[in-house]
Amino acid sequence: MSSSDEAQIGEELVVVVEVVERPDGSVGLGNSLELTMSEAIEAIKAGKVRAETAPIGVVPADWE
Amino acid sequence: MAGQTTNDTIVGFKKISTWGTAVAVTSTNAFKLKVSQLSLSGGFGVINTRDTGFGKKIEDVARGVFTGNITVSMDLSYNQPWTALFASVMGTEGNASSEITASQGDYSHTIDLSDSISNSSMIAWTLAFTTEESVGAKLIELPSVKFFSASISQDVNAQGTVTFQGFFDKVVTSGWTTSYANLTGLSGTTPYEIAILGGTNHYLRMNASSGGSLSGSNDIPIQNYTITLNRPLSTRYALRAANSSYTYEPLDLGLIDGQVSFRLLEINASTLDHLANWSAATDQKAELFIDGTQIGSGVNRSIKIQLPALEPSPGLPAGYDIPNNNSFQNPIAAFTMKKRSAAPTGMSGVTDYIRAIFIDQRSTKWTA
Repeated sequence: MSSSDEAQIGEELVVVVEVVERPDGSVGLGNSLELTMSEAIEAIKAGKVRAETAPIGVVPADWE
Repeated sequence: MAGQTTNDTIVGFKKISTWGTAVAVTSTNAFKLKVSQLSLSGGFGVINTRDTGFGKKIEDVARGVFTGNITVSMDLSYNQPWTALFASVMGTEGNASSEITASQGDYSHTIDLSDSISNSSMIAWTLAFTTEESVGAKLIELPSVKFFSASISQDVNAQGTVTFQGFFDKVVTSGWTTSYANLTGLSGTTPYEIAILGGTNHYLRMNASSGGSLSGSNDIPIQNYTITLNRPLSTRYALRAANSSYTYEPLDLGLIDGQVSFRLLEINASTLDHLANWSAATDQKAELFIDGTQIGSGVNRSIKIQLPALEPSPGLPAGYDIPNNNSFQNPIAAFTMKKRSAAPTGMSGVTDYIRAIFIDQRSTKWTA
């Protein structure tokens, strides 16, 4: 998780990792992204990204 | 007794906390290492008499400083303790992630390049291996080993080779801290899965360092890759009674050198115009990914290498000339790793030379 001066004014930024489907159909982890907390939570619930501190599909307890 | 390697030839290592003080290679966080080759070199310096009048014959020989060099090679593999040695060269290993997939035992390990691998950030090892297969109870113990160089190379559709080079302080040939039973009692880390370059999911992606996130549109066909990281260390000696022949903890001295090269399938400027990048010295970023089989019903075991800033090597790129009319032109795209002031898009938090991300079944740090 990271933050910046800008985020302290607006919404906190967090680092998440894309959840991608590989060519063979397996699920893997892709690029790391910096999203606002609300964007990250929405994307985690949609199964599109993962937080480092929780399994795929689970929003870390201290994020909500 | 012939020195044939057998099932009884066991190499083990365990992290130390104090340079020069061995630990017993046993119990938690002691690893059995599957090596393809391990070689030691060095020894004591020779100090001969300099007196005249002895008929040019040596009358006395004294021993000088001891230098110990170790090179160890193994197959590139998933879920294996070579990851720990790699982390010790890189210098920074984060805690293992939480499970990637709930209850499946798949964990991610992120390893970054530190500024230093000395003093408080030292990750060094006691390494011991068995000798005299049929006699037993004999081993060689290196109380303190610090690796300063790591190299990974691999051809497509082949296993990769990982090689580490390091310094050790001395060789213990009796009175070991590690017992023979300690070594024979080590269990290998399971499962052992060899890493072959060429799976459906595998890729090398590259674009300008300042460009957007890497994706499938940035895939580059390569025939091999070589990644080498070398952080110079210097041994240090000082008067300290009986041990003054042996080095204090070797310390960093000089710039960290990271080199990476790829042999391209063909000259094709639409996939990678390396000549143009070389000419304009345009930094690239790259990501190499290979994976193995699935961990439970979670994600696959995998190795990902991220390179945020690659400066095209200044030498004229090889493989663009014409060797003869019975040869393909296979360009070599060679780069020097650099540090970036800010992470490139798609590689949040990656600024220093190289990041490696391993997904395996170890729930704690490899360098714990």
